[in-house]
Amino acid sequence: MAMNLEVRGISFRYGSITALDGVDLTVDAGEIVSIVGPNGSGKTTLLKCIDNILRPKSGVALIMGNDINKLSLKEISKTIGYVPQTSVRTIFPFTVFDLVLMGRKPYISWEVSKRDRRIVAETLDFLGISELAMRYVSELSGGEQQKVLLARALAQEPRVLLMDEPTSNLDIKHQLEVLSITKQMVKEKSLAVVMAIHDLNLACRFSDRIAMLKRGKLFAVGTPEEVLTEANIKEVYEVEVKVFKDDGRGYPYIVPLSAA
Amino acid sequence: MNTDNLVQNIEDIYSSSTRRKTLVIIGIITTDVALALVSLRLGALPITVRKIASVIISKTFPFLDNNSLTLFERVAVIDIRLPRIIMAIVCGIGFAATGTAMQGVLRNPLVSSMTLGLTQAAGFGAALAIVLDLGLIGGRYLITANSFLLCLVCLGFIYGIVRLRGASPETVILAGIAIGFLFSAMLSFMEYIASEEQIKELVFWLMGGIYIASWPILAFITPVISISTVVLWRHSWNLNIMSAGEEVARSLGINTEQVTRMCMVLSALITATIISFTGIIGFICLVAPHIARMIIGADHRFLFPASCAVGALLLLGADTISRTLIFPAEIPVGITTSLIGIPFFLYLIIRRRRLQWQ
Repeated sequence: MAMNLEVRGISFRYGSITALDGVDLTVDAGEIVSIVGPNGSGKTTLLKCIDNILRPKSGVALIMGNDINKLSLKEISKTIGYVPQTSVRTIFPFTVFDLVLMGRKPYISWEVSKRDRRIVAETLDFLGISELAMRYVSELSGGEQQKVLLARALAQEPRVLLMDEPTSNLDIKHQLEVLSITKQMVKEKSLAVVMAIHDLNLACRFSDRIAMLKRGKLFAVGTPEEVLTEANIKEVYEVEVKVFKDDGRGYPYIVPLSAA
Repeated sequence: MNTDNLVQNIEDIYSSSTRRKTLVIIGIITTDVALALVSLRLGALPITVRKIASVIISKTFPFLDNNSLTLFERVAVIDIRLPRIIMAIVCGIGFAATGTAMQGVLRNPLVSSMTLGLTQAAGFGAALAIVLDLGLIGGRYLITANSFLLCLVCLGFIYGIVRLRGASPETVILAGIAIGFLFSAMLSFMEYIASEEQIKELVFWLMGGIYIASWPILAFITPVISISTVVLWRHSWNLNIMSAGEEVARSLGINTEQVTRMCMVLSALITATIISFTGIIGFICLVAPHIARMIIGADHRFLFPASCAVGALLLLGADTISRTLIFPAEIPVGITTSLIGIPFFLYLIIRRRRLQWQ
């Protein structure tokens, strides 16, 4: 059976700067793959290339075995959900329900059906933010906004979910909450998740596999234990770290020591 | 409460909020109609509602005419007041629709036809006609044809900017402001070389007015405005999603460049069609969408009709005051719209500022 997502040799340049150089990656249903790497290593660019927001210079992304270039914008939007990095920047006053309803756009021509309303309501319930339904998005805290963005992507009923730094603006509690919900969601709806993330310890704990990028090239890919070694991190981040085998719950734990 | 009930509950809350919005829109439209009736009564000669009704009935169904009406009453209602009122409503709708579409597509609440240089271009076109007597078409519609043409030049420029791949909303707005300054410099030059008589005429045109209203003009502008407005309204979902950001819009399958081009061209077309007849009335385009947004929220499916109804209300109200306040003289409608609209607008901003520009 075809993988949910398969990335073959994707390269991308911003002008003369190579941002991605022949990246390969496969992600199966029910799997979270984290993309780690220093700033500017191409994490966000990779996500955008997968979602056809940016057009790769070469290489191809396959969704459920289909070449993404051969799918219509609408078909792509029915299979890939994208959770952007920046906090919600709605210029105009939208309610949480309105914003999540936008995720139904691939299925709506004009009229909102009973099914659309139901899916939005169920998604809000699933993420535990039902009470916020009629609140204005801009009035919410960062953690709540992140859940709203997640809800919108889920309302698309995607097979693949791309998340760009889902925890970057959140406190510890909300980081754990958002990632736990993501993990639960992945199993329940058998999604394939690709997540760009900075926090290596969170990546260890919540991902099935990790892909490490260095200057647009795939440096290592595998389980957290295989990829997040002291040698790899020194090579890619130029940082001395100590990796402990077990954080008390069976996950590796990384303590940064000094910039190399 | 169990999950099913909770889910049903949210659905119900949302459904009742959309019903409420629909009712609000119907309410504003009813106010429009009421104001139109009041406005029909007002003028040099007060005419009763009964008389107005019988004029309209006898005009529509000539066989019902019982000859009880004076010629003056007929002319005042059919040839003077009615076209003017309809013109105010149609133009109000058009201005509001362009404001809503342009603010939505450029994701900026400060955009109006002024920001994109359209009004300045129209002003320069009129100046060419009035001062130099230059233009493609001579005669009665020289000023109109000229300002329409210059609006199209401005539109071509903006379209070119939008066509450049990767032109962000900020780039489009900056370019619009720049070309606006260019046209206003050329307008100033025209004023500099104009005679006193010409300046008088030009200043009067620039202040805007609906006194030009007539059935033939309505027959020209109404189809353009109504068709364009409906097409813009059909883009509501796209505008909703684009206001949440370019990347999200693309990931939801929207061809953002195409939507932007379409909305800009139609908005400019509506603006050019109106202001080439009426002169410069810039305020409604900026403000009607804001007032509507404060009443009804940001969902463009409801915002468009609400905004259009508010625009009609503003322009009709302002024009009625313009033509009746210091009768027999007229105050240019550009002045009255600002005089009644801006205090109201400021009041709304202060009272509901929470919802604005977050």
